[in-house]
Amino acid sequence: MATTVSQGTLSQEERAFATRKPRSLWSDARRRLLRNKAAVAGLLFIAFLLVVAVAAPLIAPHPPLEIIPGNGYRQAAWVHTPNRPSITGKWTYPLGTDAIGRDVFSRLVYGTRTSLIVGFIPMIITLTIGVMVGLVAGFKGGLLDVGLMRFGELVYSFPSFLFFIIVMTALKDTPIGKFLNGFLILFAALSLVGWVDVARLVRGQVLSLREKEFVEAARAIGVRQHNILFKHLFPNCLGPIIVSGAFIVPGAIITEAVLSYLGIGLRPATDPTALFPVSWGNMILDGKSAINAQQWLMIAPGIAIALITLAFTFIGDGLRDALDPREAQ
Amino acid sequence: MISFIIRRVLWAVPVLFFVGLVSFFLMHQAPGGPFDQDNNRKQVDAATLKNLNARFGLDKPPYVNPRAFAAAWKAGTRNPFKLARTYVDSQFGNYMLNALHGDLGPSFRQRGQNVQDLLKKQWPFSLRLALIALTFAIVVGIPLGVVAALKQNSLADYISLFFATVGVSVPSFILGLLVIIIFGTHLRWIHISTNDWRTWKPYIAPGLVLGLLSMSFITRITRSTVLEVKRQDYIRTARAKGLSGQAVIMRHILRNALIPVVTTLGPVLLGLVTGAVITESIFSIPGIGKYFVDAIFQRDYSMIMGTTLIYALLLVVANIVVDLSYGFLDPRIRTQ
Amino acid sequence: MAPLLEVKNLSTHFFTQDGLVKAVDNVSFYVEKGETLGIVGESGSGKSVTSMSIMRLIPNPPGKIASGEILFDGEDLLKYSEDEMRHIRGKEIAMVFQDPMTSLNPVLTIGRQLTETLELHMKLTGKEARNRAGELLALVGIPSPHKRLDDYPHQFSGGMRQRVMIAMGLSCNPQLLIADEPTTALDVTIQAQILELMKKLQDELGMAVIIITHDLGVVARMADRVNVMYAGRIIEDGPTNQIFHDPRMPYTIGLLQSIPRLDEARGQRLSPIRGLPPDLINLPQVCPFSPRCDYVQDACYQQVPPLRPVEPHQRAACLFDVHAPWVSGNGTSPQAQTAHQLPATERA
Repeated sequence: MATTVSQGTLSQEERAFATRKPRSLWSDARRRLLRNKAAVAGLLFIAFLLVVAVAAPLIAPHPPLEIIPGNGYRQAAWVHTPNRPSITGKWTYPLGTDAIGRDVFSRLVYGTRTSLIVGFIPMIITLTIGVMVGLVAGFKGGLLDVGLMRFGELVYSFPSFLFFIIVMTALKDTPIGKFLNGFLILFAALSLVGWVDVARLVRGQVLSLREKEFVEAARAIGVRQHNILFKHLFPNCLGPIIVSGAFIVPGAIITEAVLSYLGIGLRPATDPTALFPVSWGNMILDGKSAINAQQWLMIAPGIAIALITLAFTFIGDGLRDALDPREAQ
Repeated sequence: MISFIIRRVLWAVPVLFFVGLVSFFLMHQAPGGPFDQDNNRKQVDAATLKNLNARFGLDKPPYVNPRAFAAAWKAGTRNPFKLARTYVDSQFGNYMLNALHGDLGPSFRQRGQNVQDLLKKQWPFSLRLALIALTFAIVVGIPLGVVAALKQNSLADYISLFFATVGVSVPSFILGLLVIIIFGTHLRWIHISTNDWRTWKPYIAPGLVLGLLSMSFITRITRSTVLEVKRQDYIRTARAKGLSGQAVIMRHILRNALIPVVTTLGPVLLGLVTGAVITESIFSIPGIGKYFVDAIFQRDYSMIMGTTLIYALLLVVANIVVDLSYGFLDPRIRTQ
Repeated sequence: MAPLLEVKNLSTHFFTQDGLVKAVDNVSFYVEKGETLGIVGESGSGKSVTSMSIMRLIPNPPGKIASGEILFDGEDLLKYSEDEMRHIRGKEIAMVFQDPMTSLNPVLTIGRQLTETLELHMKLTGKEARNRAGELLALVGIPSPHKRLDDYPHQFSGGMRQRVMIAMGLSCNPQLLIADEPTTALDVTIQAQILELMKKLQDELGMAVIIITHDLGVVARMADRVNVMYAGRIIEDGPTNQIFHDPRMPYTIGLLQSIPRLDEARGQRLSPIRGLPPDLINLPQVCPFSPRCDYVQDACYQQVPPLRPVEPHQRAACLFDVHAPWVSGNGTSPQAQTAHQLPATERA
């Protein structure tokens, strides 16, 4: 009798106090991120741009480098100039054409590729360098730490924008600068500057985690150093690393655009089979000289850059709020 | 505190040396010399070129001059200062030593002009633009951030946060070009080419364009630090004392929240300087930034390098000032 | 005569992303003039929220005082405007918080933090306030008090800062001082000094004190009466001596059994309460302590046991007449009179 009663009460007890499912840090973060409308909008927009970038040949009505003589500075489709039929807008060229008759809309579509690659590759390189330096400096400590951090401080105090300008002007006409239409030198310059922030962040995190019990415990049971570093310390730095990565992307995109606008960014492609034939920054540079002749040549890539950086900032903000529960009240 | 100041000032020396060295190294990689072409972009004949290079010391080795050192040693010089001087009698050494005296060398494209003279002519215009932008950024940015944080999750918060996010995302050169198209070409509210830059009025539009990024940045930082401070135990203490909302905000929240905001003025100034380069060029303001962009297009290497050094010096000084004011505002640092 | 403070059916709720948290659920108690009431409970039991509700300092959102009355000198504080409430805070009811390291503003001098209340509530001029602030620091035993007015909090040790907090609390001669875990963040030796100081000042100034703590030792030393809180409710109250001698709620019994006693037999093992406090979201309508209770019965799952009188001045929220194992009065052992311990639950 007693046993049945106790069994009954037990199940009742379980039912009554069935607590909510425990949530992991990551699922919690994902939930918070998806509740952030701006971040979701940003993610959707970037997903859309990825589709556009991949499917560019299907979307663009014209090849991005196709020069049509006598078709220069055609207006956007809704701008009609009846007196000058050679430049009046028509829907075959939705956003008009540039000085040598290339379709602005098609160039805009292909430019998506450049923007995304310029955002992501330097982000990955920067994070890799930064994480490595930060982990090593924080974990090893001693002279190595002091040396790395001092050097980082030195690099950090070089105003990054001026550094980009100097690298790009000085090396633009050298073989390295010409390699891959300037992509190589651009990626190198962008990655050489940004790692310091990441390294500091990771080092700080490692320093505070190094003395924590779970690391002590791992050490005590004889886990090897690089295992402690990558299996115990690294995962605990992941949140802040992701957040800073999300903010590196728009920075890189803007930098490329500014440099191209200054004529020291990517070189205009001539090979019609190039994967990345157009950069929005270059389009703006073209558009600036035609500011009175064909405004959409500048407005279209300008808005595109503004939207892509805004989307990444929204995502970055969302990630920060999601991964830092203290911030997200 | 005093040792802190000294350390900060001394740190500026390796920083400026590093900036100079890296710039010089990179510029040295650029193909061609400064005097290869004359003002009309025509090739200069070999004899003249040699003459010019000798006159400006470009025939010397790039970084160090061990030959001159050895020659001086053989000649019996033992004064360590003089020996050291011969050792650094190189292009880079002379450039840096001259720069210490305020001589940034001749412009490679504007013949007969020294870089420092050009900069001297240009800086008042840049200063005006920067002042307007900075004032706008601080005067609007801080109150906006405070209001957003105090009314967290209200409509005012969402609106200011949205605009601040747009402000930090949209690059100022795009914003500037759009402003010119909309307000210059279409609405004709501002004049683009016919400005008298000795007055203040034409600076307003470019000043706002330039200041928007910094303003948005300050708004975001202020908002998050005020939110952080609002949660602190000592704010609860202050409220438990019966202080009015206003006293809690002014005396307790702001005093604490503004300390981290001040530390971000370093990056803000960096953003202003960087943005000014582009903004001046877009709005044709005859300041340092515009000529810097012109120098980039013309590959005027000495001008680029000189301007970079000046900007770096400016930022180093600004950062020291920011650090000092931080120490002054925070008693935990000041009383150490 | 009406008590100084009477809290009636107070409920304070927090609206979180996971659901409604009834942090304080239908709590009633009172404090007489000049007496000391202890509120004990684990963290999350609602004791701090109770005190913040009395001060009307519940952050809104997410929190809200859902219902009840807080009568102070016969007036309902919940009906006061924010302006009127400000004249109560710091002047009539003052608070001392748990962590003196974070409860003082780091960028203002100690003197400024003391004088601002004096200028506000006592209408003192700057100079008078400064003098009074020095006297207050002397009162709480800070050496060379007038010199230290210009120091910043980081220049004080933890114990000294808590003395400053107490001085701040006392500055306007409040009728009621609420001390929320005033010694938790301090070293043991400093704890004793601070408690002594509070007791001494209470005797001198004659104010009432609510001391909130999870430390039964602090309660035993300070309080005239005790409220035991669990899961947002008061589950036992009564005079301190009586509660310590003959607790009638299994939770209180468990608490007392889990601390070492000098007067118990050697070899007696400490028995901690098993399990964890319940999640306050979607709390079922059963006895909240039932999953951890050694005396649990089927009836415990039928309703929330009300607080019922068990002795003239003692109430407990248990359906049964439970006594602690060390109480052998009345000739009835708890096992005989109430539920026997259920073997299955114990194994769980």
